[in-house]
Amino acid sequence: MAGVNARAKSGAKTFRVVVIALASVYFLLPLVSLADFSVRFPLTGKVDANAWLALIAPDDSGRLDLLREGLFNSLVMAVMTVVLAIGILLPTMMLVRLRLPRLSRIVEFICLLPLTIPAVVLVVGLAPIYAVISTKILDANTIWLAFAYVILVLPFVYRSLDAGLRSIDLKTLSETTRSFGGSWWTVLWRVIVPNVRSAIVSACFITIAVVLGEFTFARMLARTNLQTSLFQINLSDGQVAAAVSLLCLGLTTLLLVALDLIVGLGERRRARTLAPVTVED
Amino acid sequence: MTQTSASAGRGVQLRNLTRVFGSVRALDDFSLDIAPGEMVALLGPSGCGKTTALRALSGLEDVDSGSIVVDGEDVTAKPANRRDMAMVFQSYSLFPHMTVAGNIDFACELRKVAGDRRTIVAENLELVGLGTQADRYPHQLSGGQQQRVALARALAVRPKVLLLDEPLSALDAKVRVQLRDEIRRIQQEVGITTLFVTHDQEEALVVADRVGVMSSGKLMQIGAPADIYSRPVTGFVADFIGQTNKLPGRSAGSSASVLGQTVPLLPGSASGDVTVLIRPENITLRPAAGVAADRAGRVQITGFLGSHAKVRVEVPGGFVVAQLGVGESSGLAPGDEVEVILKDVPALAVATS
Repeated sequence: MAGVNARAKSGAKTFRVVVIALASVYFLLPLVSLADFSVRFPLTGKVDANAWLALIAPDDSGRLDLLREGLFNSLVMAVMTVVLAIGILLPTMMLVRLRLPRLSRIVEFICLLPLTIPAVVLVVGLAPIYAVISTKILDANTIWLAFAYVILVLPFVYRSLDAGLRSIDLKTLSETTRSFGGSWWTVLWRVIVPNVRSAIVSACFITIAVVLGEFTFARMLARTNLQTSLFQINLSDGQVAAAVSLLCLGLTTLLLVALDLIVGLGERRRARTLAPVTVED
Repeated sequence: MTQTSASAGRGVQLRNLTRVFGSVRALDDFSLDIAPGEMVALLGPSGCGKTTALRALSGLEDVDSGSIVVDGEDVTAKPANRRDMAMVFQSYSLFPHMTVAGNIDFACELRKVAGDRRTIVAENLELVGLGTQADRYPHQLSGGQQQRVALARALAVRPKVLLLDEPLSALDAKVRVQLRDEIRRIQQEVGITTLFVTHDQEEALVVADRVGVMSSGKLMQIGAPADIYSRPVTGFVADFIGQTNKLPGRSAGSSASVLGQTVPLLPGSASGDVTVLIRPENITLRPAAGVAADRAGRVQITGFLGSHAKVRVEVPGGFVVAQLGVGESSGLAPGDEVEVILKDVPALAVATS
């Protein structure tokens, strides 16, 4: 019996290793190919670092300016989208759960709707709205695309926050806080947010990832974000575009890791602050 | 506990409260007075409106009509966070991201409690016997400990009224009894006006100065536990509190004829053909054969319950349950013939439906 168990465990381990290896190849192969393309001239096969060096060399073509503008716009929009999406959705979901539970299905439906509508269709509807925003309300600055991105990330933010709110006893926690004199702001900021922190962080991660990777809206509404600037660079020099894409991928990963570390640091600091209050006998 | 004495002794008046949910009248012209420093328990079956009454007092539930006065001030229109009360919920309700001390400290911060908060935290944790658990998180505590922390937190903010919403329901039997006694001790020590909601009659009878029995949003009767038990004013109260034998009888003024015997009746009893409600402890059994048919019975089941025994006896037209001392019941066995004797204790008679 022990021999059978050992064989079964060994088989399961082998299966896991194979699955992980295949998944790694699936994800890494395109990146390795991209890296290879960025240093190997396609026609001659010559390997050099010109595409990478071009990123730090003096630039007369304006490519790097375009890239900087696109990256800056995307980062600003990522922050705006995170703040708007979570700032609107978290209180709304709390309100629905506490006071208007019969509306929860409708809110869920509305939040998940963008998943079922192709971005191209969405942008057709948004185009006339942005025409008005550009000319009559705000201006043609790219960062106002963040309003549209809020719609785009709604399904992901909703799902993440929904999981977080389901994991706590929202009604009792909010009623307890209220009964001790806390305002609704205190309920939200001091009680609910700390208890759904991981859900909020997940929502932030996915929002940042979506915004930094968004192309369709910006391209069709003629705005400059990271992806459209990469597209422009790609038209003139594919190798530089490949190098920039890899660089951006690395930067995005670093950004998300940094965010994760900052949140972890904040949680440890909070735990230290709250923990020991001396009890005197 | 001088810090809590400042909050003790505030009177509460709930006047003609009505609250309707769809077609259900959760509170139906409900009125209740709680004297300063008194502990009142609201008792009733599920859906009787007791929790709605408590939540209305706390401000967590709006009322459709009526008024709520606390310490002479009408607070009906005040939101929950401005009513200066504290509530202990059934589901512990500690903030999971804060330590035990953090929970109490946070509540004191919200309520802007004057004085050294660290001392207040420590004092209240000592009061509930958890002085050494200050730096623990709720998930590291047992259910009973969490509920003690919730109680300490509620007392620390020196509320005008302490509200307890079935605080013992989620605990196991032994812890429930311990904490029940502790709640009573602390309430008496601190002297805080308290409204306690429960569906457990034993809990209500043991803990409260007065017990209010509710049904369908109405307060059916309120009084001292002994009065509620021994002098119920309605069949519902008699039936709900404790165990009751329902025996057919014929009422004649202040007494009724039941099982061939005369039983004194409580004021307010019905007359004519009635059902007389008699407690098991007001029935005794005597082993005997050949007694008058209308008071003769045959033992069906005997049940030993430690300090006493319950014996079910078949009588003409039904059965009765008698509660006997262990010595009295030891000689009885199923099938034995007995004489059923009703004690001379007033009972309630209700009209036979």
